[in-house]
Order: sequence, then structure tokens, then C-alpha cells
Amino acid sequence: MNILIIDDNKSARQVERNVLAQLGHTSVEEAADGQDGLSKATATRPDLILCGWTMPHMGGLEFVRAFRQHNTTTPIIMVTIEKDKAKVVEAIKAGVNNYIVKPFTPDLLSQRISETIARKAA
Amino acid sequence: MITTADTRALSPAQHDRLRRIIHERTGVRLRVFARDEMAERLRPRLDALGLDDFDQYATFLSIGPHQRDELEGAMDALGVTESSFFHDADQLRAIEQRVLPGLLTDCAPVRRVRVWCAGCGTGQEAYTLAMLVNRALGPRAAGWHVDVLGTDLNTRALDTAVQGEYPAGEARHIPAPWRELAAVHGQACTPTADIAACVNFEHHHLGDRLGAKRFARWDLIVCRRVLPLFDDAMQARVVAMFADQLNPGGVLVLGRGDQVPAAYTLLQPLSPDGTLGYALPGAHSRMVAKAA
Repeated sequence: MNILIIDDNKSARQVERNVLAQLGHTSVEEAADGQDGLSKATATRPDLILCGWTMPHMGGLEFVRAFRQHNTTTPIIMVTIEKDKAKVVEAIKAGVNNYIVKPFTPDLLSQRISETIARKAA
Repeated sequence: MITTADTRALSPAQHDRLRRIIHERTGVRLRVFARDEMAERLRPRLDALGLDDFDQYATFLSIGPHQRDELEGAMDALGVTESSFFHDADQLRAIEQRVLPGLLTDCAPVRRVRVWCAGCGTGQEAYTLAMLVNRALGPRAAGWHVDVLGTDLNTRALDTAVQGEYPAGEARHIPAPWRELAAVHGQACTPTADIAACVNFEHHHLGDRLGAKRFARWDLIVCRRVLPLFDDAMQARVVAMFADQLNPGGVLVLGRGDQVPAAYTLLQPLSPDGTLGYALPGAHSRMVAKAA
């Protein structure tokens, strides 16, 4: 499974990459903001996208809205410190499939990935 | 063309999805809600959250840090947590006259009676049971330990139950003989301090058999609201759990029309239609008083 991580924080990307590696996912691409994410998503056609919220140039929400213009099927998990109800609603309206609040445990990320993939398959 | 009205309708697929989510998360199978009724009851939740349609609402119930809280909001909106004082007063009167005398006689040596109100919603039924037992004991009540526990899976409903303060209008549901056991002050109706002191509330899911064991055993279990919300398999598990948690000779009371599954012969009906409850055979010689 190809996974694209979009986050402007290199350490955050590394943490997610490490957790994904523990879960057996080694085909992982990284992007540093929403614009970079759109380019890499087009080029690499990931099976799953983990996306941060606040980033320069193009934030996570803008990325999801732009990506959903031409792709409605690839699952997107928002990974963020934003936990307000209104933020979750915004993310759902933009088109995310799942939502993880940082900090998270490897188990939680694993669970969210599994349920996201299972929902897509259903 | 899709209109606003269309996007806020509840499609059959969305209806199934919402019922599936609620069933998976709570064990409650909402077969009693028709699609139109569910849509009408849940639409205010969409408005409150600012969501555009029921697909988004189903997603909100499934992801993010607020899913559990909103699940409770949905259950509230669907009326699953609704309760009232002396619901089906005729059934309660029959239980007071024909079941409680024997039950209290059996409990007299220890002067303690334990009552579990399972699926108590906002708590009125638990207070009702305390009132019922209090009046049945009469002057003996002061020397007895009456222990009523209301449980529900909905923490919002339990908050209301613990507070024990209801709109004054709810007092009208309390029949005259018991009315003195609740007080109306201004806009609020509250059980008296003696009644409130008998009643506690705890969070519990009726699918949690191990969790029920921590409550120990009960002389009377009353579950009159929620059983029809469960599917057949869940109903059978819940009834088996109730039987496990009854003291020998204890009585299980279900809602009028709810039945213990026929295959479950351990519990014996105290009346042909089960309205008076089902007794667990045991050391006690519980006799149902003949109607006068």
C-alpha cells in the first residue's frame, strides 16, 4: 500500500513514517505542504493520505478540498492537534475519511488506518 | 437537480448506515424507528453541528474526538433516553399489590431490598421504583435499607438523573398516593430527600455482563424501556444476564408486551402475559398475592 504523508513539520512526518514502518508500511512518500501534496498525489497515486492541518502555501483543509475536486475515492486521514467540534465538521465537509488528534499512539494510528481501509472496501 | 430539501432527506442507504453505526457502537438496534421519524428527530442535530446532510452526520458519528458525545446526542434526539414518572401506572400498581408484598416479606429478615432499574434514561423510573417500595414498606421504611440503582449507557441522561430535577409538569404523572414523595418548587419537580437518598446512578451498558456483576445481586430488576430496542440475540443475552444477577426468588419486570424468550425457562412468569414479571426460582417461597 502506498501512503502519502503531508505535513510541514519534518519531525511529525518522521514520527508518522516510523509508526507506519512498525505497522509494515514502507512505501511512504512525503510532502511538506498542500501544494507539494497535490503534486505528489497526482504523481504517485497513493492508496491512503495522512494530512496535517496547518501548513504554509496550502493548508490541509485546502488540500483536501482541491484533491476532492478530481479524486473522491482515495481515503484521507486528517492528523492534527485541532480537536474542536467545528474543526471536525469542517474537515468532514471538505471530504476527509478519518480524523486523528495528536498526540496519538501507534495503536490508534493502526486502528484508524485499518478502519479507513475497511470502510473503503465495504 | 438536487435541492436543499433533497440533500437533507434521509435516504434508505443513510438510514441503514446510521442504524448500523448505532447498533455497532451501542448494541441498540433501532428497528422501531421508521426512516421519516428518524430523519425528523435527527435533523436538529445536523443543524446544531452545521452539517449539510446525513452522510456527513454518519461520518461525524464515526470519526474524530466527538463521536461518543454525539452518539449520546443522537440517542437523546431519538428519544431512547426518555423516561417519565410512573410510566404505565397500571402495571406498577399491579406490581405494588401482587409482587412487592411477597418480595418485601422475603427481604424482611435483613431489612434490605435491592432494586436495579436497568436502562433508566433520565432517571424518573428509578425514582418511581424508590417511591413504590417506600410506600409499600409504609411505617417500616425508616428501618429498612432501600437500595435502588439506575443504570444507562447515556452519560447525558445520567447527568439529568443524578441531578433529579425535572420540569414541574412531570409531577402530574405521579398518582395521588405517591405524590407526597415528590416536591414541586417553582418550575421544578424533585423527589423528596428520603427518596433521592435511596437512589444511585451508574453508567452501564446492558451488553456488559461482567460490568453487571460488580453490582452484585438484586431482589427486583426492572427493565421496561429499552429491551425492544435490542435485536433478538441481544435481548436473549440481556435477559440471561438479568437472571444471573437476581437473588434466588428475585423478580424481573419487563415492559408490558415484552417477553422473556420462550426458550429461556429459568424465569417463570408471575402472570400469564408476563406483566407482573418473571421470578427466579430459589430458596424463597415467593407467592404472588391473589388479586382481591
